[in-house]
Amino acid sequence: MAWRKALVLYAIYLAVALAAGGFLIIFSSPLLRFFQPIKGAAGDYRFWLAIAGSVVFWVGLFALMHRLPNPLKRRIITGATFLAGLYYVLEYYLPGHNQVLFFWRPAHGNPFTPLKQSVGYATMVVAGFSFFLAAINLSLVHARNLLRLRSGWYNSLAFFLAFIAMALFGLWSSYAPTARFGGLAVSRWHGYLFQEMYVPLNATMFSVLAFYIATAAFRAFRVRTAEAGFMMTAAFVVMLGQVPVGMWLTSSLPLHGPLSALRVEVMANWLLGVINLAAMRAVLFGVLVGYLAMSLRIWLSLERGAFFEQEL
Amino acid sequence: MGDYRTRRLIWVLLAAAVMGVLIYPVRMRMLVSPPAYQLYRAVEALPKNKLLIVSCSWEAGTKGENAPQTEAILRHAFQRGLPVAIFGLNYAAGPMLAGDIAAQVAPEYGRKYGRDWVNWGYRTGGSQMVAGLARDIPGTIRQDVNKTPVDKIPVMRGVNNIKDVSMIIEITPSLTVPIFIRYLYGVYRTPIGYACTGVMAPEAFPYLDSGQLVGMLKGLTGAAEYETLIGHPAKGMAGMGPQSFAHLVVIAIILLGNILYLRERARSRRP
Repeated sequence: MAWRKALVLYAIYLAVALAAGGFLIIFSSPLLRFFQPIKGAAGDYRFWLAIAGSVVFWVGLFALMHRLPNPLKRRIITGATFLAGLYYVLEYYLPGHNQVLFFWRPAHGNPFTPLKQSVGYATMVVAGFSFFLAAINLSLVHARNLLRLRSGWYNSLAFFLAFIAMALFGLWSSYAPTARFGGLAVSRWHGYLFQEMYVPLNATMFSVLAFYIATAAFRAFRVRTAEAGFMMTAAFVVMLGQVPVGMWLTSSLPLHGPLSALRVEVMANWLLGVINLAAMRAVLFGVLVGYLAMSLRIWLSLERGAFFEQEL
Repeated sequence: MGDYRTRRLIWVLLAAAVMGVLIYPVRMRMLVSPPAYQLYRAVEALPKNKLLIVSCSWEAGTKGENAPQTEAILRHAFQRGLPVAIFGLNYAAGPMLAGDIAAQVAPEYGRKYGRDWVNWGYRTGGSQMVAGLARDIPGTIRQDVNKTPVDKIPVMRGVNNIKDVSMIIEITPSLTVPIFIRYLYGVYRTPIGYACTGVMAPEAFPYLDSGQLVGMLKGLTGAAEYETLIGHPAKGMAGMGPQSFAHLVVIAIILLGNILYLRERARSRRP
């Protein structure tokens, strides 16, 4: 039975987690010292030795994992995901201080809390690797387009030129701010690329959206039903209520008293702060319950996604 | 009229409305909405011995809305003499663009970099970084954009953890504010302010109503409201004319679309 097998598996993980928890509690101080980030100067050989040591360790570990049989590889990934999730469950769902639960601790504090910073650093490192992976993936896709001269290959060429230029001048100006290239300081080159090219291009791309929204509004905002009529009226009130010209339309009405409710900005604020608030709160509740269920599925490796559907 | 022509006519109308008001500015009176007033009151009440963190998680794409908001908030902070730290969570360009704004505004009030304000730059790590800020600000930030260690920057003296922070204002086109609510307001009750693009505002109202946000600026309108409150009309107010006429054009376009639709429907019903 599949569920029985899964139950046994999670019982094993839980046992491993409890053993790991016990280990953490007993050896928390040396472990904390081991996982503390090393802050070293560029000339400090121990700093570079630590970096080289971690690179060798992790590359070795990944190479070893690569050679493992697929079912074992999958077990390790599932187990690591479960343990990582369990840490956050224990850290955030257990109280920060409790005399009964954490009776052996000096201030009865949650024993997982001191590890929070180290776990946070580890998460940041993993997030950093994902950026690196994304850059490699993007480069591979565009390199294939360029080498096979697929339609739109010039866009891939533009990508490489932009990517290399920004990375080169960005890193160069960061590590050697006084260096010069082509008669100009590298920081100036970086400034040209960033301030004079990237910023206006980015702003232009978003500005064009206004034109598409106007066209879409003309084509899509048709009053076919009573509900669509309500929506259009609400949209008009909110749009007018956000701008001075809309406020001017009802400016002859008093600012206080019963008639003030008819002022367009008051109606717009009411629509946003009452009607929209209730709807958004309901949507948020639904979304967050779904988020919780989804998190549980990912934590227990029940989710079928791009990764887990692959043969591992 | 063909679809191709209609589309282009709409674009021309919209561009003409925006450009016309930019060339011939119209003076308009701005009324302040409660969320903007709440944020102003909260900043007005901040103590001068604690750091105000302005998180600029925006980039050039939303500069039109977020830059005037940033300027108005920084202007208010510098007017009041509040120590300010700028940083960015989601977009690398945000702190750089906000730093340029601060460098322009600060001298108007006699504020100096390092002594009165600091730019921490872009910080990766999302929620983990925010959680790190709560416990150890110098350890998490380490150095500013000029690579000066934060413990050597005068404005950072005595700033150790979130208890030394008076408020965090998140200026962004993304919904990153729940991270601050979850890790800072939820645990330490640090006041959180929010300045977002117009389209993101409806999603933030539940947080505002629950008191998890002390106040909010909604897009360019929010910036104009804040400028009105601090008595310094600038880019936000200048943008109100073009925005007003753009809204009017969009409303007219929608009405025109419906008139054409109803006429078409009446024609098709005729025997």
